Amino acid sequence: MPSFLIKRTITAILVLFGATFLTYALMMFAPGDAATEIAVARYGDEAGIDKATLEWIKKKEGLDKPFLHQYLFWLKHVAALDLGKSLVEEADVLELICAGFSKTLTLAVAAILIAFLISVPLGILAGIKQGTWIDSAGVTVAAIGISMPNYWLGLLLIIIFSVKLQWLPAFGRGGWEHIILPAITLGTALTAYTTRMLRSAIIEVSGSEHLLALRARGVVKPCVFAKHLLKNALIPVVTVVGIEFGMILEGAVITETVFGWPGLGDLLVSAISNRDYPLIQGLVLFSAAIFVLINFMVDIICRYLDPRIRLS
Amino acid sequence: MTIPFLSLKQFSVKFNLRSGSIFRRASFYAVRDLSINIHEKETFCLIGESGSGKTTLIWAMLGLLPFHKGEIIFKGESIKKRNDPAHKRFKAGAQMVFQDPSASLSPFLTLGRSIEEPLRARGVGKKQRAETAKKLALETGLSLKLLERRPANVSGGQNQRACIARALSTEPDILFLDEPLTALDAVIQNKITKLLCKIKKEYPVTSFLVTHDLGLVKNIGDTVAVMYLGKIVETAPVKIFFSNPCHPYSKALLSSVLKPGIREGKPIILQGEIPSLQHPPPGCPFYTRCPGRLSLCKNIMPDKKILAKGHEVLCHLF
Amino acid sequence: MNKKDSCYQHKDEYKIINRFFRKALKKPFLGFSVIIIFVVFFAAAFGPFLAPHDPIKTDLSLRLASPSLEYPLGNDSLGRCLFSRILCGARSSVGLSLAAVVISSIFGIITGLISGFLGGIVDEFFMRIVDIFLSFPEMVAAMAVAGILGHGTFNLVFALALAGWMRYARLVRGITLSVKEQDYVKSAMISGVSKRAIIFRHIFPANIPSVIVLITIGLGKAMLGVSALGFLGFGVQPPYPEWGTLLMEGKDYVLSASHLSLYPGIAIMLTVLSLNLLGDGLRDIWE
Repeated sequence: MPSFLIKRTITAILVLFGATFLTYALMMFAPGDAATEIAVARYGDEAGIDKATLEWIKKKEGLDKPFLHQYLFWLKHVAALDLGKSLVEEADVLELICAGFSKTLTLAVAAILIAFLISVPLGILAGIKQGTWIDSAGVTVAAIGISMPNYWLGLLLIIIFSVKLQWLPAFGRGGWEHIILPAITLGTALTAYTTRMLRSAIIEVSGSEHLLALRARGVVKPCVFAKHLLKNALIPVVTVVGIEFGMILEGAVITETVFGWPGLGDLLVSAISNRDYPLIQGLVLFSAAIFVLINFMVDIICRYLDPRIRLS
Repeated sequence: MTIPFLSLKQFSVKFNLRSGSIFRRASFYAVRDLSINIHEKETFCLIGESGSGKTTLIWAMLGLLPFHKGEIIFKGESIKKRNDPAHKRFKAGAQMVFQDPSASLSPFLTLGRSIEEPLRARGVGKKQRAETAKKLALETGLSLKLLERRPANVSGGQNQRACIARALSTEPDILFLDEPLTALDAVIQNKITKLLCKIKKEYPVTSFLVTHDLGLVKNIGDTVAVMYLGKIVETAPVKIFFSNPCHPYSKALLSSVLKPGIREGKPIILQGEIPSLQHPPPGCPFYTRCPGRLSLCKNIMPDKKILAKGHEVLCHLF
Repeated sequence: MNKKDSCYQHKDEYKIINRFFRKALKKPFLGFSVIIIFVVFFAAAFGPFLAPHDPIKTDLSLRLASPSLEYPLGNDSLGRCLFSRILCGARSSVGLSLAAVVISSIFGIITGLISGFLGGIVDEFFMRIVDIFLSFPEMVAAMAVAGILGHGTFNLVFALALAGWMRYARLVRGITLSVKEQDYVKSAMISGVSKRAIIFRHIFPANIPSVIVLITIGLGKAMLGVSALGFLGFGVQPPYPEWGTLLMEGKDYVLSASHLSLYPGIAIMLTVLSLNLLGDGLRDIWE
C-alpha cells in the first residue's frame, strides 16, 4: 500500500506540472500581441497607447524573454501561491478565485444533496427491479436528464417557476430560495448520471457469484442481503462521487451564467469576455488542481476499499 | 558428426515479478541453462508438465519474449541478442502452429486470407498466393468452400488444418508446433495426428514439437526431450525413449499415460511437492518427488551424462 | 473465385445486418432514435432548401410574434421565422459537432493504437499526456481555449476537439493492449507481417465496435458543447443560426416570448437523447 501511495503521489504531481505547462501554453493561442492586450485591458484606448508604454509593459511582465523563461517565472509565482493580479478588477487573482469558490461550493453542495436524494433511491430501485416498468421508466428519465442542455433546463425552470408561477426568484443571491433553481439545474445531470451508475452497479453486484452463493446457503433475510449488496456497490459509488465533483465544475460554468450566480463559472465567463488573461489562467489552473486532487483521493479510497487490490 | 541445424546453448529466460517493492525487483527463471541440438529434417519433441516452461521457450526463441543468457545457433550462425539481423533471418525461416486454432486465426479474415497472410507479408503476388493457398488447403484436407468462411463459422479441427496450411505456405526451414492437439476433441485429435504424419512424409521439414500428448510423439517424433522446471532432464531417440526410459521422471510420465500401447507395468505415482520456480532448489529440480533420490541430489546439480548416441540424462543415478 | 463463392462471402455480412435490424425492432426506442437522427441529419444537409422562410430575413412588424399558421414556431426579436432558423441551424450544430468528433476521434484513435501497440516508454509517455489533458474539466478547457482564440467556427471545433480526444485514446489503447496478446497477432508477428499491417488488419478492426459507440455518444456530447459555447457567445456569429445561439437570443425575452427559449432546446435535447439511446443500443448489441 505505501509504495502505491508514493507512486500515485508522484504521478499526481507530475500531472499537475504538465497541467501548469499546458495552462501557460494556453496563452500562446491568444491572438494579437500580449503587451497590447494588457495595455488595452488596463488603459482602455488602443489608439492612445504609445510604443514606450508597450515597451515598459513588456519589460515589467517579462514578455521579452523566451517562452520557457516566462513559464518558469510564472511557475515560481504560482508555487508561492501568487497568481497575479486581474487585469480588470484590480484585485489579486487568488482572492477572486477564493471568493468565487466559496459561492460555487455552496451551489455544488446543494446540487449534490439534491442529486443524492433523488438518485440513490431511484437507482437502487431500478437496479433491484431490473426489467420491470420501474426500471425502464428510471432509465428513460435518466437518459433524458443527461441529454438536456443544462442551461436550457435552467431557462425552462425560470419560465415555469419564476415567470409563470412566480414561486421562486430567478437571479442573484439572497436567502435560501435563490439557490433552489440553480441547484436543481446543476443537479439534474448529476442525478441522471448517478442513477444510471447505481443501477448498473447494483445489477452487476446482484448477479455476482458470491451473492448467489449466499442465497444458495439460505441467507434470504433482506437486510443481510442488502448489507452485502451495498458493501460491494460502495466502490463504484465512491468513484461516482469523485466524477460528480468534476461534473459540477463543468456544469457550474454555464448554470451560474444563466442564474447570475457569482461563482467561479460566472467569473470565468466574464474573464473571457474581458480578456483578463491572468484570471483565466488562474481559474483553469485552479480547476485542474482540484480535479487532480479529487481523482487522487478517489483512487486512494477505492484502493483502500477494494480488498482484492489491497492485499495483492 | 553433422553440425546440428538448430541448437540452443545455455539458454535462459527470466521473468520479472510485479509484486516486488519499488527498489528490488523479484524475478525468476522460467528456462534455465538449456542446451539442445536439433538436426535437419528431424522432428524434435519437447514434453513436460504444464508450467515447465515449454511455451516460454518457444516464444523466447521466436522473439516474442526476450532471452537473458545463452545463444541460439541456426545454420551455423550465432544469435546472441533478440531481434539482431541473424535472429531476423531465423524468424523469417520459422513458422508456428499454435495451441488454440480458433484464437490463432484472425476473426476478421477468411481462412483463405489467413493462409495467404505469410506469403503476402513476403510480397508474393495475388494470383500465386491464391494458388498456393488452394493447393495447401487440399493437402491439409480443407474443402475449397471453407476458404471463404471466417474462423467462427468453422469447426476447431478445420481451423487447425488451416493453421497448418498457413504454417507450410512459406516452405519454412523450421516449424514450431505448440501443443497442436490440446484444444481439439478426441476424434479430431486422431485426424490431425494422421494429417501431421502425412505432412511429415510429404513435406519433410525440421520440426520443434511441444506437447504432452505421448501418442503424437510416438507417431511423428524422431527425438524426445523431457523438460522439468525449466531444465531438460532427458534426451533420447523416440524408440529408445519408449522402450528404455532412464530418468525417474520419464519413467513416471510414461507409466501414467492411459493410451494403450504406451504404458507397460504398473503406474508410478509421484509423491511430494513441486518446488516453486521463484526459489529453485540448488540441486536436482526433481529431487522433491523423485522415488530414487539420493542425499547428494538435494544440493548438487547433476551433470549431463551421455548414455548412448543421442541419449543423455541429467541425473546422479547414472 | 467464381460467383458462387463470392455470394458465400457476403452471407456473413448480411447476417450481421439482419441481426441488427431484428434487435432494433424489438426495442422501439432504438428505432425512434434512428428516425430522429436521420431527420436531423437530413435537415442539416438540406435544411436551407426546405425552410419555409428565409432564416436571416428580418421583419420587425412580426417581432416576438407567437406561433401562427404561417410561422409555425413564431418569430424572434427581429421578426425572423423561428422554425426556419431552427431548420437551418441544424447545419451548424450538427456540422460543427461532427467536425469536432471526427478530429478528436482520429487523433485519439491514432494515439491509442500507437501507444497500446508499441507499449513501454512510448505508452507511458502518451498516457501521461492523456492524464494531463484529462486533468482539465472538459467544458472549462473548451471555454478557455475558445474564449482565448476568439470567435469563429474553426476555433470552436478546435477547442472541443482538444478537450475531447482523450476518451478515444484511452479506449483504443485498452482494447489494443488486450488484442495484442491474442494468438493471431502473435502468429502475424512471427509470420513476418509488418507492424503497420498488423495494426491495420488485426488490431484496428477489433476496436471498431467500441469506437462507433463512443463516437455516437461523443457526438451527443459535442452537440451539447457546441450549443453551450454558442449560448455563451462563442462560435457561430449572428445572423447565422445555430441552436445554442438561438437560445442565447431567446433568453432575454423569457418573459415576453418564452417560445424562443423552448423550441431550440427541444431540438437539442431530442437529438442528443437519440444519439445517447442509439449509442446505448449499439453497446448492448455489440458488447
